[in-house]
Amino acid sequence: MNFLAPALLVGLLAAAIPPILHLIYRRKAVRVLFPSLVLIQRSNRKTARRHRLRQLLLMLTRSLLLGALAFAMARPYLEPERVAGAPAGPEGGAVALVVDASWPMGYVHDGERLLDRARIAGDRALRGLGSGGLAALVVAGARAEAVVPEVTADLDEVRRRLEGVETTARHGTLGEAVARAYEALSSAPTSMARRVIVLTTPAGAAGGLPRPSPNSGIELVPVDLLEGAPPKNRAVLDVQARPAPDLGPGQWRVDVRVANYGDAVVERLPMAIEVEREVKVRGFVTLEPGRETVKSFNLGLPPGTTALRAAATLEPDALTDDDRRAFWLLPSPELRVLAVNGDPRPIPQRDELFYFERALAPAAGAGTRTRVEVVRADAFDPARLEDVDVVVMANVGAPTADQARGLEAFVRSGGGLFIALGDQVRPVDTNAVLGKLLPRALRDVRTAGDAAASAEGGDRRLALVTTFDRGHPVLQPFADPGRSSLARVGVSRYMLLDPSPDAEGEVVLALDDGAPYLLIRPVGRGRVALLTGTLDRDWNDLPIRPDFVPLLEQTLRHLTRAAPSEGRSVLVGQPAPLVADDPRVARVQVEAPGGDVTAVDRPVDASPWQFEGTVAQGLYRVVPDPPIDGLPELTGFAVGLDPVGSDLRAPPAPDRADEGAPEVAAVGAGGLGPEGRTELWHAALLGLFFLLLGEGLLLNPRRTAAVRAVAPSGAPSA
Amino acid sequence: MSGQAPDRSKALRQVVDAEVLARVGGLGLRARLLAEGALQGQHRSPHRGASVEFAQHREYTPGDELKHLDWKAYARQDRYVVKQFEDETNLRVFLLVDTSNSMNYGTPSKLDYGATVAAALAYVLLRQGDAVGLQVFGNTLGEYVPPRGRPDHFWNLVRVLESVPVGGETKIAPALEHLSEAAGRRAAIYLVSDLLDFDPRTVALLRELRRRRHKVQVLHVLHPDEVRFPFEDLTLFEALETAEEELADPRGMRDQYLEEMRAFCEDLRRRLGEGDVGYRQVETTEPIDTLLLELLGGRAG
Repeated sequence: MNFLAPALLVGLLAAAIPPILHLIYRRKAVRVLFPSLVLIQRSNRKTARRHRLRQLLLMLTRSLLLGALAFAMARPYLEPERVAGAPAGPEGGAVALVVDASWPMGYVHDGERLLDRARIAGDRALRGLGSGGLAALVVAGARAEAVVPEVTADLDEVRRRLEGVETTARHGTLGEAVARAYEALSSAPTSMARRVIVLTTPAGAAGGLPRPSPNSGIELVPVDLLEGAPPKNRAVLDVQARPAPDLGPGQWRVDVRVANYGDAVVERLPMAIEVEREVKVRGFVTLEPGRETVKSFNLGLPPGTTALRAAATLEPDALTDDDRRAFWLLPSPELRVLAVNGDPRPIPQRDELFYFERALAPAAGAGTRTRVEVVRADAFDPARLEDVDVVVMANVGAPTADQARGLEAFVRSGGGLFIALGDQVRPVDTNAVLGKLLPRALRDVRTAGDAAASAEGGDRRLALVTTFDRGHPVLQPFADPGRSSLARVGVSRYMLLDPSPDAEGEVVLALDDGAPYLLIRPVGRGRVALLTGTLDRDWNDLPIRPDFVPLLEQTLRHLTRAAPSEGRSVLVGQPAPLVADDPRVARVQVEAPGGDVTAVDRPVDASPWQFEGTVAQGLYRVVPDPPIDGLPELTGFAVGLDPVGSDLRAPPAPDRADEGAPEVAAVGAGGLGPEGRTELWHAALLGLFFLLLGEGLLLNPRRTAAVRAVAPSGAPSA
Repeated sequence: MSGQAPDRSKALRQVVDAEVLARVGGLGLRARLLAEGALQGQHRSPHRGASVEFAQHREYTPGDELKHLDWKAYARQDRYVVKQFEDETNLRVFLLVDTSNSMNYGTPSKLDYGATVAAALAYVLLRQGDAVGLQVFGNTLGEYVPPRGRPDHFWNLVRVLESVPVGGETKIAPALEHLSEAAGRRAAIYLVSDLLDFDPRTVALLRELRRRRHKVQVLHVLHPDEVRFPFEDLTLFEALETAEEELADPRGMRDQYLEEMRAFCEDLRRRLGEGDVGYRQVETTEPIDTLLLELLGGRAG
């Protein structure tokens, strides 16, 4: 007899409760004065023995009741000697069991996890070996581990090890485990029949397992533990969260990629975004079978500096591990901007940076924490760029040679440079000093409406922005830039650039005549953006367009050398890079979701600083060790399950390994499911019912009419 | 456990009407109220003259009540004679009340209930002109009050019933033996007891009294606990009359006990019935006025 939940057999101890209660309470008798004891003594003499027997039976029944309940909950079953269709070890031969212990084995089918089914199937395979058989055991968990590395005749030991297998958060070690199984079988005599039985999901069974060498005589038997039943799994595959200043202060956009790996349409599947364990947004998604989709949520959070724990969740299904994906909502790092004003004016509205400064104010409210410092062009000191992330050159005529050298060093070391043009800019001088930084050389100023500028434009006086590089990070805040207010920006004048076939950089925005309007070029570790218009209204009306704010904020963030604001995410088993710009941080403590803390030292050489112990999914915190005053919490990271594991379906036939691939064991009817074995919990429940019935009978013996019999009679008889 | 007269006024509140109780002080008043209440509209007074059958004249002797003097005969014959009526002179009633420890059970106790029934009976009978006597008993003979027919004799009976101490085991036979000598000619005898000492000797004495043409009525007073045995948990029962103890699980033996009690009562009824002795089982929760009507109806019949 076996048990599906043997741990619950500990409940058998509850059978001792009734005798213990009896011993505790038996001496607590109530004293009662009574007129005469004659009848009581007589009755007691007649019933005491019977009553004691009934009490004993009652106590026994109650003990059996509790015991039977624990027995039923442990789900006992009888295993038939041989089950048709079940994979078994060759009688008298050798078998290497490979148990998939990856997280998809937590899939529940017919009330059982696939891992529980694997235990049953493994036990059955071991029994098929008979008395002279040999067995080994390899587990494909966090790594491929040969738990019983060489074949042994001690099948009970293999069985015990099999019982101890548990799922891990890793996925993808099955192939390596099968290879280890071949090695394990190599120690078995070649005269024996040898078989590798792989107990896994449909995807694992049909997923191109390494085959044994042709002359080894080893047979590979992959077993689909779902018995051919189509899996029905929905999963959160990925989450992207970023501030959305275009939606207003404190707004975030969360894109959740979800998939339906079942064979039927899932309509209006409930989803939610939790922040600090509280559901903030709910939504529904309809998923076609076998398809993925991205569901976007807008999330409003109070601006702050604290990292928030968040998660995207789906309604739980048969595989719950991938119904939730955690991520950090990290406040954007402080953006330190030095704006060099090339055309300051006493009237604020006419100042070159009037709109620029005001545009960044709401961005600061959205949690981006932008700090802007404005200097005049002649006061710009390139030696003071230590604390600056981005330098904005607004309509600066031509920097000095020192300024240009400083700027170049700044950009190459990771800084951002934003160049906006204007009437003060002298193309020749600028090309001369900033030629190494500009995406393209400046040529001259063009006025819109000139026939030379646009044949199609004809007599039109304004050029329009009509070309957008939709995949560029700068345009990420815009769902459809062509429908945004950027498409209505009117440009009256702009700087023409020298065409250059080998020019570096990307044209993010371009005008209707094809002239670039916004370009971005990487230089060294930094980036340079060039706007061929102005930051005020002299050449265009961009500053008064609503989308000027997110465009500017996103461009500056893209240029900065600071870490991206999205919480970094890696998969279980992958090393997570650790980031701490402050050189004082020589060691950090990484706190895993389960609370385990690991100290990681910053490497002294150039090797990457990373955390290797990503063994569980969830959110990991990173704190300096020891704490440093004034240093904010370091950027944590999220560890997710490998989304490949969510698809439990066997790949379609053309995708499978080529001809000669082992056939997946057909363990359908009479296989691994409850129908393949004799479950005893029904019988235990039936016994429980009869015990309850018996207890009821013992508690309520036959009712007599004795009360009526001694009730006062009528009139006196005399 | 015994030796003190209990406060029976409070104890009887459960068996009499609440409105009546508000006006009741002691046992005497309570018995009178109960009796008058029970007989209201049903009992014809024996003092209505015309309805009472004249028996004879007899010579006046000191002590006779002056109201019975026949003044017309005195005018004619110049001597004092008193009128005698059939009913007034023929019936004497003896009340035997058990005061053993076992009667001191419950609230109200069986003794409280029995004493009230006895007093109420005495009141009614005295008002009818009957002579009523009283014998209380426990394990020994207690106070004896000879039968008298005067209405104020009622208070003599009440005084004894109120002050009688509780104690001892039930010994019915000595009381019956004493009564068989004291009763003399035909009388009515009411035995109020829980009959715990009901042996063949007692049965024989009761039958003997009946054979001598006495009317004998036994009131078997029981508490509801004795009848229904409502105990649940494991209980150590302690006897009121002896020092005996018995540990028992009432749930396991209730049916057997009730069967024993039923058989005991049935045996009493059968054996007394064979001797033409009246038997009435009564619980202390039963209204007394109803019981009185029933007992007096039996007498009338």
